[in-house]
Amino acid sequence: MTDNPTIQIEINGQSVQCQPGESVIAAADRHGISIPRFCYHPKLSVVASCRMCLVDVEQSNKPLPACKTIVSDGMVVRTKSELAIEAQRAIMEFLLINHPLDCPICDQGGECELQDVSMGYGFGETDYQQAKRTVADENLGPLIATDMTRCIHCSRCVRFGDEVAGMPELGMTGRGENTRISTYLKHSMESELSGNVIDLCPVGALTSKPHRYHGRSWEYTQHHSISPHDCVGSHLYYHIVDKKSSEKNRVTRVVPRANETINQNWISNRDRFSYQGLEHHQRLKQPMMKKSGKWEEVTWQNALYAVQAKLEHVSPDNLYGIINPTATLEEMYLFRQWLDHYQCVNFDHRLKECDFSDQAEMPLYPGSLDLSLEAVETMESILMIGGNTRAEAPLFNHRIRQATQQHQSRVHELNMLDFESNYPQGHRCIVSPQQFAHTLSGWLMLASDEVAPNLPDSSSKSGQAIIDDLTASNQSLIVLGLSAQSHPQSSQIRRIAKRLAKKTGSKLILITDGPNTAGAWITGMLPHRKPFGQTPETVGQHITHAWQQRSANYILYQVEPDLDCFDGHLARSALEHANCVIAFHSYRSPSLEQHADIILPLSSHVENAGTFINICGQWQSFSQAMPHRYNSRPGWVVLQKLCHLLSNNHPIVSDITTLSQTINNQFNTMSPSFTRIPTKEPESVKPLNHKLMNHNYWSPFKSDALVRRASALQQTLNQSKLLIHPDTAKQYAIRNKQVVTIKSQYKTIQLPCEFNLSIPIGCSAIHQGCDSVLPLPAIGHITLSSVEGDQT
Amino acid sequence: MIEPGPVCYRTLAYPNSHHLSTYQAIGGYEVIKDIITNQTPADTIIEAIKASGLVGRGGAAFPSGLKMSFMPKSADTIKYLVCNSDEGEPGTSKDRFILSENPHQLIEGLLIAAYAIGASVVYNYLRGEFDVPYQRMEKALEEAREQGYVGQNIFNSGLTIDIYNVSGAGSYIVGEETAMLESLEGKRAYPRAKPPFPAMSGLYGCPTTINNTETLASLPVIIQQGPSWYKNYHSENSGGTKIFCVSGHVMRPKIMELPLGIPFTELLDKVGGIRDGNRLKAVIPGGSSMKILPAEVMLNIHMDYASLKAAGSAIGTGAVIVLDETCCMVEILTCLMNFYKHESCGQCTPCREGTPWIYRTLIELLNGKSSVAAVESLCRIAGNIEGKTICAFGEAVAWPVTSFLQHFSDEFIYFAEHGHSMVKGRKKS
Amino acid sequence: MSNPILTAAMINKIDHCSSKFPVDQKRSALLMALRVVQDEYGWLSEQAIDAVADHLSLPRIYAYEVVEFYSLYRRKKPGKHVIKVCNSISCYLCASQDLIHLCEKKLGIKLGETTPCGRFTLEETECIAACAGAPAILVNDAVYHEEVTATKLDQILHGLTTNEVPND
Ligand SMILES: Cc1cc2nc3c(=O)[nH]c(=O)nc-3n(C[C@H](O)[C@H](O)[C@H](O)COP(=O)(O)O)c2cc1C
Ligand code: SF4
Ligand code: FES
Repeated sequence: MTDNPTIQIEINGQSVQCQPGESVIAAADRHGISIPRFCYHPKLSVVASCRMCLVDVEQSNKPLPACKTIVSDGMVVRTKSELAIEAQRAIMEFLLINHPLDCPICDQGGECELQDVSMGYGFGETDYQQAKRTVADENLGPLIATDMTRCIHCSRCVRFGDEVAGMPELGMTGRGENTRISTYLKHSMESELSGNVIDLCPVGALTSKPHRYHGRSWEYTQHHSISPHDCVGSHLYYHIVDKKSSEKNRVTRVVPRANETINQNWISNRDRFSYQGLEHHQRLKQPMMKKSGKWEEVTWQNALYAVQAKLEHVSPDNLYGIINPTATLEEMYLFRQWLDHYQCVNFDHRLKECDFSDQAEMPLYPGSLDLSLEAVETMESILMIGGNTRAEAPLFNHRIRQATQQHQSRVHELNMLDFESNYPQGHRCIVSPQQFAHTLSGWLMLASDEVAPNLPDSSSKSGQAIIDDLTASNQSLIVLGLSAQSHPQSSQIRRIAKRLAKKTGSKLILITDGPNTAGAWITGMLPHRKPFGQTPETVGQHITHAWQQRSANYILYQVEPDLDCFDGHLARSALEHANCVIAFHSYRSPSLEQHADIILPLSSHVENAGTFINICGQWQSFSQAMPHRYNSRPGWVVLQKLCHLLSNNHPIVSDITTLSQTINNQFNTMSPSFTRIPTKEPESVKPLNHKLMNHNYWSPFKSDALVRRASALQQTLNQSKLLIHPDTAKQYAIRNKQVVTIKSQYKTIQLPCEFNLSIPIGCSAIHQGCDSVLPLPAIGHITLSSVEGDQT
Repeated sequence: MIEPGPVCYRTLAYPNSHHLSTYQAIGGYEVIKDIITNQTPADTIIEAIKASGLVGRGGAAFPSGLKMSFMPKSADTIKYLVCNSDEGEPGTSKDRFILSENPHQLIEGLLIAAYAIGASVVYNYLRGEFDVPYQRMEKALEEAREQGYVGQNIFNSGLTIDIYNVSGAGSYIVGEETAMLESLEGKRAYPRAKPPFPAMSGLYGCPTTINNTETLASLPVIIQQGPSWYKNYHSENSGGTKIFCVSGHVMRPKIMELPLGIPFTELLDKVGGIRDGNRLKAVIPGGSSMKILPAEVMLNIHMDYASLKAAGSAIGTGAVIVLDETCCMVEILTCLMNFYKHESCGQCTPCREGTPWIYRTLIELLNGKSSVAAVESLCRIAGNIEGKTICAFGEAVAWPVTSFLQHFSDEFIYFAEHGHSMVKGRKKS
Repeated sequence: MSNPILTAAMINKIDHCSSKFPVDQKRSALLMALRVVQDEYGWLSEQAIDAVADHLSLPRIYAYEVVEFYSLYRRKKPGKHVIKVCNSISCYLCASQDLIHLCEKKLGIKLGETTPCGRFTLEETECIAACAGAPAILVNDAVYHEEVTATKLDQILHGLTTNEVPND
């Protein structure tokens, strides 16, 4: 807040300390003095157009807008003088003459800023007799509903698109009384942050489409939680209906919880609309066991005994504990404790990776230990390697955008796909997966002034320019995205990135999968680490090995094998040949139903409690927002029971905070610092010699089980298609828009293809769409043929 | 229709008034050449402009020298001069002829002002309909560039002053100075909330001065003849010359550059008096946004800033709109409000909502479907707009309403009570 | 790649407009660029607006905002000649309403309409700064005709009809 307040003003006789350059409204807000407003929003530029905040300022003969009036020493402000009240009433009357007065049928009713302010400042009566304006609605897509007649032209939504989302999708068109908010071309809003306009709109003009007519604000209880989707861990509120009996205990919407250090005032569309998946018909309601090929519902007790019986005689080196980084820290900790009873050593959570050879050199957990999200905004130059932060971690991306907006930061990029960014781009280099690690290794040679790398001229040039910029900047950052980590040479990539960071004096951060990859590392969900970074006696098998086994025993925790893994097909065929598969999940899914022996129904994120550790190492706990539904149980409860069955000594705590505290204490006392682990000198990396490689790019709305079942988000996706450069296509005699056959090592699928000039030569890209996720490796070699070619 | 004059219209006395040779023959570009070759200090020029008493001819009558002195002196950022050639105020038709008939003098004026405020780039923003003026300005600029008067290294001094003509696309509000800056940035003409004022943060956030075409075209003559020549042009301290555009119910509507301070009756004589021998009813003395004054006031007035201010109106753009006794004031006010309803930019609430409200109230009155209460509400609505808007458009809407009702309320009430006009016995339509 | 909407000549003109502004302020050229294209086609289709926005590398919504704000831009194809009669105060005082009625009668259309032959569109305009020459007419957003009487109107319309031939 105020560091060294130097300015003193007076509002309504009360003396108020202000920062220089601050507006009257900001100062008043800090002191709890309410000034009505519509267009003002602390995170947006000030336009002072609604005029609702007019106040009486001594020395001015006219009322002045508090949002645009900068404090000056000795200023005397009155918000309730005759001049101020008269002005506020006048504006209120103008706003209401054309606004429908049917609050009871408006979706915003009860939480409408216009309604609230009019209670306080309206006349109650007007002599306006003329017809009210009506405005045609816009179709903004499946997420945002419009009722444009209610719009009061505050322009918050327009400024949001321009200033925050970096995607001006809405504009003000027309003039005077014909001014309209419009996308103009009737397309949906596509920004990953677009849902925030719902919160920004002070009236019922922009509302949530999935939430529409589902409830009224006064019927909700609000519950604080942490987003279960990405490594930022946005703070949010679940709004839960607990009055109407028919919809009792149902999340009706999700809104952001303002938090300056994490997500500020925003959440991503994934965070906002994924709650729809909570009610999906595939929710598991009862423990299930397969008896002679048929699924039967069983009691919890029988299910747990059955689990125990199944595991009793398995050999530890044939037992694999595989957990999704969507699980909580507590679940992971208990998962490990439970399987430790069976001497299990084969743990892993790195579902979307395939190269682990540098695992010993990794720190206690990836992400970044010495960087805050806020500090990202102060970076002068940033190098993004292999990823699309807009999709992977939208609010991390927002910090990068802020850096470009507020500090003119330059953002450079080495990528395999030409992702659209929402900030001005610096030097960019888009290369095929074959060339990707090779290019990066060449850049390291440039940075080390070694022999000139064997790179094409353009890659060399941009590489040099980027290195020079990173080196010259006082604050610079290298970001390793998710695709870089799915790359077959990701170990080398990580090593090079580390070295490059050191050489250029940059910080390094890894974008990680799911909300709790850091937690997974800390709790030892790895073959080579025990909890808190302790070294195991034997190093187990990593996940790719796990999937290459036959007749193995798998414990899958929140894993949908074909949809969550680097190579869905490989995972699925491993399960097909497994000896035993025990799955913990909230949803039934075809692959689990086909291959599992026992499925234990986990409570969903809202019904669960626990801790996620985000990309910057912040421990964020959330409590249970509503009672568990059906006969599902929170994972931490189930796992404790399983431990207890094995050993009566195992303590059962009924309060999760005790458990969290225990983990935190152990973390603080046991964790070694990995700052000194030597990184292997990166070798010079050769290009991969596959003729054709494919990048199977997941939509962010396919990233986990919950969001995959959120209907409105799924409606925003197009059909999957294969993108390919026409020159590459020529080699396979493939024409534009043709259906093609794609063969990976294990799997053959067919998809329509589309020519795209931004795809590097020698590779293709599948943009996963609304259809189910395609079981190809995230990045891998393929062969292509046209369908006709196949038939002949 | 248009007469030569002593300052902005001085070339009009000659054939081919817009040619470079014509302008050069009367000493054109000598003033700026002197200034630049003698390296006259900028302050000296600004002081001279202050001393001349020149005030903005674009409507707001802000002292021009003072405005120039607001520009920061430091040389570390680029500074801009913007010439407001949007000429949108109803009744006003003067800048159009400076642009088309005396473009070189405007260019010299731009150079003088740019030099004085340290601007290296000048934008001359012409309204989109000004096709001939735009062509003439472009031609003149080309000639001036060829002569080395404009561009890099002007008059071999090492100094750069670039001038560009820019064309608008149809909007009255773009004449408001900050709206013009937005428009120059390629956006809708939404006036900016002030402060910051353009001198601090104008075009692209850089210090900017905006002046009207007539203001800027006056500079070469003011500097050439000296501030006191200008200031005392007519009588002591009368404040120079002004282009008056007399329109409406007069015999020969005309545009004339005349000394400030001449009696209104003299102005009326020059246009042959009221048409058809009718009697004068009222005058809007400074463009449609200024307050209307009834005949008895106007007949005793001198056309200068102080007198009109004292009478409760203003000289504005110098657009003198004359109304004779046949006018129905309800109808005239409706015509004005039709304009403002159409031209409101729509960003701020009072203007966006209030202006159409006033207009529709008047239409109902004209249709004989109104009441005395509705007439009274007109003033209330206008009062609720005035002083609460982002830009002075709010006043431009409110002032006609309040002044019409101040001076002619009987006509409005009569109309409300009888359903037709007091003047022509206008029937319900 | 050649753009089917922006011809090389138009791009030339647009680039000339852009050259008046600082290199990092391409948006400034938007108004004039749209005018360049409109002058060619008589109006601005969606494709034309998109093409201008794309050429200047601007979000398309920026172009729509501008097109919908300024009144000289047209979103519908007008007749070959657009006759605009000024109807603001000075012209109004000089019987611009009568002039409008006269035009309507002569062209056989109402304000805002286009003659069936596609030759004329009739509109009204706000003050065009021809107040001392009231009533005034603006033809094709560029040519002023002042002190317009019935005879003068005939001449103007006739002139437009006959001048058309060589243009065709
Ligand atoms: C609604 C409105 C419209 C205006 N239109 C014009 C105009 O068309 N031309 C002009 O020179 N000034 C116009 N002005 C005044 C300008 O804002 C500004 O005061 C002027 O250009 C400054 O130049 P000056 O000091 O030389 O008069 C307008 C102001 C308002 C509020
Ligand atoms: S007063 Fe009218 S014209 Fe001026 S900013 Fe407000 S809405 Fe726009
Ligand atoms: S909140 Fe200040 S004008 Fe809208």
